[in-house]
Amino acid sequence: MTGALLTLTLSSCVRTVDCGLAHSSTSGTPSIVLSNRYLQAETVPAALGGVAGLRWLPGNLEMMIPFKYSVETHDLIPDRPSATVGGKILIWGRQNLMAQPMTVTGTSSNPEKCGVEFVNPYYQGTSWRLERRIELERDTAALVIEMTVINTAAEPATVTLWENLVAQLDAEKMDAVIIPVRGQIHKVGSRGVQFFPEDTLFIDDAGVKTQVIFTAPARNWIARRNPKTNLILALRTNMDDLLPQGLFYVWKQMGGVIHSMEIIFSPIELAPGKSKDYRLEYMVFAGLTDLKEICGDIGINCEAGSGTLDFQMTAARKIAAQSVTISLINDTSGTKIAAGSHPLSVLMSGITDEFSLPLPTLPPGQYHISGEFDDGAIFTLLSPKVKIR
Amino acid sequence: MLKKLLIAVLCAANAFAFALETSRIRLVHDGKGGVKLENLQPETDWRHASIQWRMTIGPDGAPAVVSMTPESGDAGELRLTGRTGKVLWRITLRPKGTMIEAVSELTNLTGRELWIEPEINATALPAAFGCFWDGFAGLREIKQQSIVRKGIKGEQERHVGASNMPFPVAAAAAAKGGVFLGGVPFDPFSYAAAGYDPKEQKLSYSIRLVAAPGETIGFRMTAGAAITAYGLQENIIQQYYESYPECWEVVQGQDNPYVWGNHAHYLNWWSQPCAERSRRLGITIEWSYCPYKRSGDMLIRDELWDYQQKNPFRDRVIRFGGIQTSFTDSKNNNIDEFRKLRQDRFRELGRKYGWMFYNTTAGTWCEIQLAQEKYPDSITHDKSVMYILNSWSTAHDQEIRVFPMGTSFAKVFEEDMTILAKELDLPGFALDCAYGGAFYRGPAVEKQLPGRAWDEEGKFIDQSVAINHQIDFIRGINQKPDRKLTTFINGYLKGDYVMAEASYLDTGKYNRWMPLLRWYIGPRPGCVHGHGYLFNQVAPDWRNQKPEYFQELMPKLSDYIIFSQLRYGLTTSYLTMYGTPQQVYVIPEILELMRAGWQVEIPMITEPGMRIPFSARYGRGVDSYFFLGNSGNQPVNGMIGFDNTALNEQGWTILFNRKMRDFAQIDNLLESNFTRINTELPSRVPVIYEAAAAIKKPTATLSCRVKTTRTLHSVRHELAWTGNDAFSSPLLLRQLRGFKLREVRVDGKSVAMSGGQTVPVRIADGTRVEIEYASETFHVPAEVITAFPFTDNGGKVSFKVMVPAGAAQEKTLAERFQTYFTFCRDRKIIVADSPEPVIEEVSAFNPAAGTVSLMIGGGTLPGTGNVPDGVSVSTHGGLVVKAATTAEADAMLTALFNVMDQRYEYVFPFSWVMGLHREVLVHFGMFNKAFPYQRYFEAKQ
Repeated sequence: MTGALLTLTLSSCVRTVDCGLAHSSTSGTPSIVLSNRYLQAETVPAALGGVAGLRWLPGNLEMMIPFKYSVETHDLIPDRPSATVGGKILIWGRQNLMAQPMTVTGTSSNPEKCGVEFVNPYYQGTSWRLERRIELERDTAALVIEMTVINTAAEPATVTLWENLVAQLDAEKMDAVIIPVRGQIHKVGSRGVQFFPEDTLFIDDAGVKTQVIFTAPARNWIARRNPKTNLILALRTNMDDLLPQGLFYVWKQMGGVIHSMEIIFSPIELAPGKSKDYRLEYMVFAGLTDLKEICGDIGINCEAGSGTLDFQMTAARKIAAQSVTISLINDTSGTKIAAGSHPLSVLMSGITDEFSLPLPTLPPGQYHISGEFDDGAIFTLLSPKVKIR
Repeated sequence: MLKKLLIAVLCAANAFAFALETSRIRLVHDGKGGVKLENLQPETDWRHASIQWRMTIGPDGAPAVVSMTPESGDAGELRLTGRTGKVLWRITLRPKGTMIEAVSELTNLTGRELWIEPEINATALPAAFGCFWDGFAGLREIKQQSIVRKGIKGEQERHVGASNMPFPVAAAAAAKGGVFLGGVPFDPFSYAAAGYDPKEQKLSYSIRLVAAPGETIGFRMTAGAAITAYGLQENIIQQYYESYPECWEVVQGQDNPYVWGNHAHYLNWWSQPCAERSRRLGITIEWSYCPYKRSGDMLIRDELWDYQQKNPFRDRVIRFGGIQTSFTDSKNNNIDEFRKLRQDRFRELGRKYGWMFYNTTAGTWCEIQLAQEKYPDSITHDKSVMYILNSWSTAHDQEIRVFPMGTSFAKVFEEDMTILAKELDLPGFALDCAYGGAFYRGPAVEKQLPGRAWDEEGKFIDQSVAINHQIDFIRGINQKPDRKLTTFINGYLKGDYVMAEASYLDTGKYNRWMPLLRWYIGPRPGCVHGHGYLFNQVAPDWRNQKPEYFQELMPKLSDYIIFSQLRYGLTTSYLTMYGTPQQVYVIPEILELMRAGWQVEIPMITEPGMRIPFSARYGRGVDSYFFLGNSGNQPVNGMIGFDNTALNEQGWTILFNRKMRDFAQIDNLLESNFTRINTELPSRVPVIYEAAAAIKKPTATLSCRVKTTRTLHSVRHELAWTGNDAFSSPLLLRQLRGFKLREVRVDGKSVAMSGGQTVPVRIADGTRVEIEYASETFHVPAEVITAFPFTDNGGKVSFKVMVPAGAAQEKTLAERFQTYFTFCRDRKIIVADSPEPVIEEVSAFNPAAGTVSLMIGGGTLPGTGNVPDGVSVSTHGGLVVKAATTAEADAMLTALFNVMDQRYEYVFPFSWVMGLHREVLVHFGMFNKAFPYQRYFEAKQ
């Protein structure tokens, strides 16, 4: 170990705060606010039970685009509600209803956890019933969204859920979106995707002039960063739900700041009455300047410096102290070469363990950086790679 | 329109004074270098303004006043010359409609390129001016700070990847009126600014130009006076429509066969076209989407056919009128077969169904590798808008934005269009995304191209300049007037038929786009293109609803679409017509109004408390129409008044009647400058008033009852005057399309007519004026045609069509009768075992009962010399269709079939269409069924 630094970004790392649920309103429509020590999430039943607000409380940073809700009235057509909401689930291939109401079927609040449940029997005007549960646990920097989709039609049908997350870490300068992409893929299903020669992390920032990008996912998360904050906002789901035909999708406002990060789940066919569960997490990693991997609840940043490997690690949920062992794996031979271990402190949101390891002497070649925690969790970074000439 | 022009040249003591005058404004040069605008309108709150010209030499120079010296003033023009050390600025001022037009020529006198910003401004405006219009949709309040709108980029449209654009004006106004300065819509400029400085009480309008050494650049500016009675912006834009009608002219005018109808919305492109379905739905034009493999290679070159795609994003299928092909397998991916299929289909169906060839998104997107390899100079590197297209247009590959003017791509693009127009015998082109807001800064900007401008990043040309240039190019490909190519655009630029790419029920888009988009479309015809009823969005909880819900909702949605069509002067498509025959019923009125030309200003006053959510105005003067739509549940009654001074500049007072297909009468009260009528607006029934005739009214208030009787072959207005003192006036008469004015009688005596009006006639209490028109096509009433024995009592075809022996054109046209009755048979309008009508070649004219004689050219058969052109019935009961040309005969048959539809009516039932899925129709038990409709344009129902 050449150096280690424990960064505390919270004023009091031992204080804990109960979870809380409150009824409120935003843009003229009722809302339900969940909060814990780190996050305050505002969800709006009238707008898909979407996440209209997600505030990082320690920094007082709102991470969702501004929520707007309005209802237009005409003599001859039903009232037309419309909404701009940051986090919502849609159905790919259908016209989007951004302001379809969800019925609140239950709320819960205790010191350890708070949550709200919604349902709509005909989500997005389809025969799919959608149940949606949003939860926040004590002392976690992750908002958990669980969904169950049920085919209420008399025939088997296929549904493609689509998490359309439009967040922003800075209202003035566009965030970069970090996309773990699979290489050597031209098409996913019938959809053409951006081609990459190899698996990597693709950074879609304002300098990339393609407005719409579809990619094949190499990991179960997509994330965003902005130099103005030391926060990473990641969207994570189950890898199984991204295979075989799931996609990452980003859209950016040319000349503006809007930059979405979206998951199009793999289409699933369900028999009548059958259901499928999904899980999403909006995860915040405070103290990281970039994100290279999420392993368990640990967010990992790594830079291959001059003769060193420089790491930052933090967690969205509290992780007990343990060690991490770093190795380098030769791309061609698969040979694994140890780079060293580092004793991690207790990791939790706001506590970032920064450390560097000397790069061992390596034969020429290209190497993936890999790691293993004491609890058995293993990671292999898509980027950076170590190249020895 | 009469343009009032007064020119006064006064030469005294070396002073040179000069005035130009329109009906609304006078521009005066005082002989000492000063130019003033004088407002001539009686009801106003400003009288004078001083006009200045200023020049900025960019990028760092400051605006400097340019002193203008009068050069000459004759022939209704005033020519001024200004000179700085670097530019020579010549301005010719002349009346143009109701405005003053300033045509400039700017010459760069230096040996280097100049970046310049010429400006016109009006100073010494009243302090009472409280609002400013920068050319976008809203008005802005004038406060203490200066207001400036710089450049032409407006709100971005996500799908198009470009932005809306302000109307080229700057205006400021007080309560009653204002002043405006501006440019001319569609002129080639890439940068314009509009500003108001409250400290100097100065309104300004400027454009930016780039002038090469020695180059002379021409541009136009305008000045005018506006009133606010019916909306400031509306009044100004209305003045543009009237002063610059050429900006909104359609190629081939009223005779264009494609633009005065409904859009097929892919019905005739994706599927096999059906002539009868198209006719019954009023379809005349189609958007023939991407009929090529690679964007940017419309011609399909051998060497470009096979290549490694960079980033395809969907499997591509093309359906040329129902015949499908694709590029995804070797069987279909054959260049020769593709070319042949395309040529065969376009030559067979293109002109018949108005297939407008989609020209690689108005020449603004090119397949990325093709652009990078062949046309790198053409790439539009504007990163503030969409730069690389990854979701459409061909789906065959990724595309990059290119600039279709003065570039290597533009050259090929123009050559391709010229060749394709000939090889495929195209009727025209479809230009998608006809928007501005993407700036080209590539090598071609060094050329002396029109529309060059500058900003802090350097020189550029806006995409709108190039697209307008391409529309001019397309219009010049075929020179013969009746072969001129039509342009179907999606956007707000030049073009002949304009698409608004959203369903009427996409209210969010209409809130965002209107009225700016509508202002640009102007009196041109157009349509909407969207997903019809958007039923899932409009009624997302429909699965919870019972059939009664659908029964109540759908007629309302249909009425909303009808009212919206009339409000915007844009048509709808089959997507909303199926199942709701009310929309088919109103097609004739909607198309007639669209032909008259939508107008922006609605000079109408209503009684307090009247709620009329939908209204529109079409046409000018004695060809005016007003639409009023009461979308509420209860009838709305009250007095309304139409302001004649706004409807015409010539002092005519217009008599109106309700527009009905058979009979209407209404009392007109002619009071002051208004025609007042007591209106009754039933719930959800469109009410249209149309002009019948006009008089020169004396000061006194007059009363006149207008009765109109309309049949297929005649129109008759009766004007009954009551309670007024005698006066004398000519009668201004309408020119009704398809009719000729037969006679005008006053108290039974025929009066002389000339130039569309009568000689002055004496009108007194009790005077009765009769105006009679006769159809140019039909010489018999509809009842005669509908009673003709096309079919017998058993519902079988029982007539035959007689054509001159060996007359191929007649024979081809006669087959339309077979097509008509095949459609009837297939749709169960007549019995399933009905035969087709027999076509018989004859050498003698024998229009016996039960026959239709079809002749083109006149006199082709002995004994037909006295038979009039048109549709008539012989003494023996035979139907005779006779026309001078094949095109006229074709149009005549269409008109005849429209009449026959009254007997052989077909109601298009609900079917699965975009925006209204089968599952909805099945859920509500309405699949293949339809709603009833009201014949609300007929008094005798």
